[in-house]
Amino acid sequence: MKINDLKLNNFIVDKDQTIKEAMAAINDNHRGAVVVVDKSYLMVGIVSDGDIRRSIVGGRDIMSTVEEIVNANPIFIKDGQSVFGEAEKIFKDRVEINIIPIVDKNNNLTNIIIRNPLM
Amino acid sequence: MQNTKNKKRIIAIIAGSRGEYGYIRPIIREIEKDPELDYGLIATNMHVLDSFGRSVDEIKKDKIKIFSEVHNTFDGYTNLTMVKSLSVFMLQLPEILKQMEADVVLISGDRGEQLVAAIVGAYMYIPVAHIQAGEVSGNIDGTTRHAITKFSHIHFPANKDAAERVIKMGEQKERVFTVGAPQLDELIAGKVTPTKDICKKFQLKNNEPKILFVFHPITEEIDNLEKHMDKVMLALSSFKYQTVIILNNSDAGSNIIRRKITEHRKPNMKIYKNIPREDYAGLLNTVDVLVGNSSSGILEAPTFKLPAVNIGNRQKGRMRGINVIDVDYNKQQIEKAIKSAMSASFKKKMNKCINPYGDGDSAKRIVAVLKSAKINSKLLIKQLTY
Repeated sequence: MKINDLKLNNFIVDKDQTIKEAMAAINDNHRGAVVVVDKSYLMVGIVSDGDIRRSIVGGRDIMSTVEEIVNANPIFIKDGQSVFGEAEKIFKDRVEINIIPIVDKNNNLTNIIIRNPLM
Repeated sequence: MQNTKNKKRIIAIIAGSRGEYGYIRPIIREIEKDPELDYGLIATNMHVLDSFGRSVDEIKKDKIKIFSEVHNTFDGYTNLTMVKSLSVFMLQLPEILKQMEADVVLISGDRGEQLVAAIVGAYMYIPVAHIQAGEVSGNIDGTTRHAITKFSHIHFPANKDAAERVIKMGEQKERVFTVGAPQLDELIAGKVTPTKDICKKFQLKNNEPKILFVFHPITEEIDNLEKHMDKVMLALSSFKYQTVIILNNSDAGSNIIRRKITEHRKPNMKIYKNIPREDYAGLLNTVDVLVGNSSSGILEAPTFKLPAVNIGNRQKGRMRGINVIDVDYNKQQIEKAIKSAMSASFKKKMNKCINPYGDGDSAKRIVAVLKSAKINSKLLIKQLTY
């Protein structure tokens, strides 16, 4: 998958988009989370269903930006040869994780690995 | 003023950033103990902003009553929006002080909101008392701190060095009370999250080396901020140790810092926004070195005998304990300083580290002065000593 494809899919939101838009993306992608990037595709973090739920319980409006609730410390993989092996291991160890951002050496998003529901 | 006789003396307290809350909480606890005193907290700037962790919720959790929340901060975080934001605060504060029937305005530190409050207090002829007067900080904050001194009626410097500076600015001696730094009161009283809990919360392994990184923008170096941040982050990311990064306040340039941190981050780095003060104190107590330009390296780290690598000019001219290693925005220098700070010999040296800023009783002294000061023309009309 190339970055141009990424831009159009529902696994990514811009950090300045609203929580509501992130919810819509998660709704479409069926993986419970989206990757948050900035305009230059720098990976800012991940927002999950749980992050959104906690933020709303905490009194936040769904029109706030996702940057305000982003988990800045997600599991991610640096681009390299063993990406798929690493991803497989993470999916095995962490059942709650369904998407893993892949970043280049400058932390720009290059790909997203998605858990195969049949795995 | 109605019924001034039976009225409790009301202290208006201005809180605009996380740092100040550390000065304020121990003072509020002392005020609460005194039946003749009351307070009203005015929370503004980053305290009420979601993107800076809305620390006002932490204040509420501490059962501290907030008289007013003032949303004043414009988005953008440039020099322009920063000043414009201050003007909004200035627009609202006079009314709030009037509603509160404030008898004294208590401010602290060196930030824009505090200067605004000093000006408003002075013009409304409400006595202004200033915590952490007379210290030196190397940017617009330093200018602000001394400007606040000129608008303040009572000065609370933390140490002798700072007190002398206040007096040299032409302030009358009887207005100056050397009290120590109140944010140390809670540290010394042990309001510190235990290391075990810190390791769990921040996913740290206690048996491995740990770095804490806090970096604030300097207003007049903003044109070079990207370049500086690249050097700082390159140095920081050359270490494979566990690193906790606390994101900065809402000054001009904070967006650049956030972006640079995200750009240079490595898997060993964890990024957090606003964290409770006890946790920050807990981190200071847990990590092996503090890196960056936060005043906590100068003021608080010595209490924990924690080495601090202080980068750049933000803390220039402030009195230091032996825990501080000063470096420039230079990759090699920063790396060398971090290595040296984490060495066994430096750690051994830390046993002798004393905090020059306080002994843990500052809040008591401050409240005693606020309570006993006679509010009259002698207090309100300032004389320059030369």
